[in-house]
Amino acid sequence: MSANKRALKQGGAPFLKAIPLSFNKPALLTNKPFWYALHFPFLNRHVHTHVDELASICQSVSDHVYLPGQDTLAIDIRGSLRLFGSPRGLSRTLRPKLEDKLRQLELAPLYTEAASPSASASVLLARTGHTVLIQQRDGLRSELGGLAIEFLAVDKAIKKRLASCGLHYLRDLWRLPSAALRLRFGRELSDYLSQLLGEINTSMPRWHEPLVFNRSISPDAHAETPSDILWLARQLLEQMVTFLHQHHKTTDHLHFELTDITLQSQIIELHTRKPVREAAVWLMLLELKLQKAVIARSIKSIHLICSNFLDYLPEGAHPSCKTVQLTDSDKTTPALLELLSARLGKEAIFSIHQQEDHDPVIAGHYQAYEHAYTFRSHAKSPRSRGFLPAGTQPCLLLPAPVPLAIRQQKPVYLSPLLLVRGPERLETRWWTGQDIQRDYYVARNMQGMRLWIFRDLKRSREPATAKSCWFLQGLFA
Amino acid sequence: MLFTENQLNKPQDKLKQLLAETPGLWRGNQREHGQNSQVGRQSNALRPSIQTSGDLFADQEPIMAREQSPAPTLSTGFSDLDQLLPGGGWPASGLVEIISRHKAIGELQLLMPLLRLRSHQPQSLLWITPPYKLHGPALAESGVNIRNSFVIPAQTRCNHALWSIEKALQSTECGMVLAWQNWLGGRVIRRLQMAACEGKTLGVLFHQRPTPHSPATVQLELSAAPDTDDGYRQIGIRLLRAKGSHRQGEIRLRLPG
Repeated sequence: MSANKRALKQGGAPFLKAIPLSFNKPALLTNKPFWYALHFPFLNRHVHTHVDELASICQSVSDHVYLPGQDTLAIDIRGSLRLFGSPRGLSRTLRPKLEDKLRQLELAPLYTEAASPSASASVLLARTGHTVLIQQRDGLRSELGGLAIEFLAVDKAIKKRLASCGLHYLRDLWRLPSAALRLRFGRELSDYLSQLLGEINTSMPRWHEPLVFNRSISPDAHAETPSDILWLARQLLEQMVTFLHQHHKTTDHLHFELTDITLQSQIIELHTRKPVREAAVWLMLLELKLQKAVIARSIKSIHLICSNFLDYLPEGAHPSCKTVQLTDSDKTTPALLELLSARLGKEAIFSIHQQEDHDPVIAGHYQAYEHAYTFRSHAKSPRSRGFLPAGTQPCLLLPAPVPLAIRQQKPVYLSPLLLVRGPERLETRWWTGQDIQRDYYVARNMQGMRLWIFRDLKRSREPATAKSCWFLQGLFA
Repeated sequence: MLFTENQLNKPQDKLKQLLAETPGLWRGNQREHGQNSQVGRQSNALRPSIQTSGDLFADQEPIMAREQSPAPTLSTGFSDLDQLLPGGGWPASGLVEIISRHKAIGELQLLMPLLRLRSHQPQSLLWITPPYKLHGPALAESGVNIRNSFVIPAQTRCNHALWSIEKALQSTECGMVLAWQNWLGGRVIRRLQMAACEGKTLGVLFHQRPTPHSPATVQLELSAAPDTDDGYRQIGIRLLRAKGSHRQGEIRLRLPG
């Protein structure tokens, strides 16, 4: 007869005693770490958002979620056992949610789980497909003993050396003295073994929920004009700036979603080259974007999403800080290039790029201004390392060579051309099958224009055709 | 009488006598008098009452002198051109109009020393609607820092290009703006000139036709010239108009390379 039944029989609550926790779960002590690891074998390691979504579900059972790998989660559940009763209760709570999420991600709803007093052991067991619960540290040695050495999270060279010594399972290592193991195979292995046995703590990156600013505003009166939209956007931006200050962050990308009365949405993306957290700057960029946008109907609500955050590092904030961010007080207007790109579009502004190639079209090209080097006063201009003789190529280049007319066997551009300098032979791209064989000349016409022309040697060798073998490539402006 | 008959026969002596009688008659003489007389040593508060008897515009002199002080200029890198331009070089800020009927006669070569200088400063260089693609290796070989240069290509609509020119000129982030437009009216140029003054930026506008009564700081017309006997390229430069100066002239410049 149990103590409680006996107490009830004797007719009094005074005889009832509180049941100690150890009565139900004699092995689990809530003041010692207890690790629950989950391994998702079908998770794409390259898609970080997936593991983030699963980790956020796990956060519903414990605040201490760690990320030992992009396909594994480790949760310290010592504080959650009292609520869920046991690791099994916790697992039963999580399973439907995790399976639903995996189905949403179009993945097989399968995962392995292991729980033990050691984080490394739980992770190792889960990764090797052992769904097991080890309640006591004493049980770790026997449970882990059957695992092959190849599964250990240590350097490949160490595993090879262990295998060459005839040590294939963990139980082989348990038999050896730890001091001898350390001496022979290094500290990395001996420390890892100690972590597996829960003798020392495992260091793992803790998972933090990704920061997202996601607010919307729905005014009573619909926004009819760009100024109405800007007024609403200002309120959202002020909230965002407060959010950024609170988290000591800054951003270079904002996403506005304007929903009209017919529930049609219009997206407006704002970018800056350098991170900014001044509402006035973003507002000015939005104003310029709105000048281009066509808003056919009244706007019912405005949604502002910001998920791309960077640490706020003003100049001199940290010695290792290489990217220069302006302090808030310095920045009240957007940078010129951001201003121009907001009005003209990102695709309308370029930086000039050069690469070492004999083909002039490839050697000089434009690239999107966002990918341009950030200017520093000490930065030197890239110079050709003897690849291009001085003054041989013009500053203005035609996008593609233009054939020149021939008159009296002379190339003509507005008037017959006089060859001033040349030829300079260029032969390249033979490995592509579209080889270039050209003789370049500097020519001058009657108007005083100085041109960079070439004679296509491949075409000139062809039997007489109507096509000209002279082309205009650039202008010496 | 201070002077004898013989002394007064000389024109210089007559002038000295007049100046002695009316100290503020000639503004150019005031400093000389100020150093020696009581008037020059008096405070500014008393000066207007004294000047009513002499030169009415004397109090304006410091202001005018300040206004007429030469604007800062940058050497063009060509001594002949420096001599032609008022102030001895390109203006440090403002609008320079370069008119040439034909492209590729050496208009960029003329600006190359300035481009080299400006491109190595913290402010960026903005090329707006150049007629053809800028060739990075050639610019870099000429010493221009292409890392600091940004381009708005020729396909850009005219109104967008003009808006960009104005914003770039107003911005302190931009050290120099080079823009190509076939022709711009006087009102547009005035607006751009004001933007350049506001941002203290140098803008260079390349045209094909001159704008009459242009409010630009400097208006130059370029023309092709025959090469020198030793094969050097030449360019004809005519100064049509310069702000604050009546100077006009024409030179023929030998370009390097």
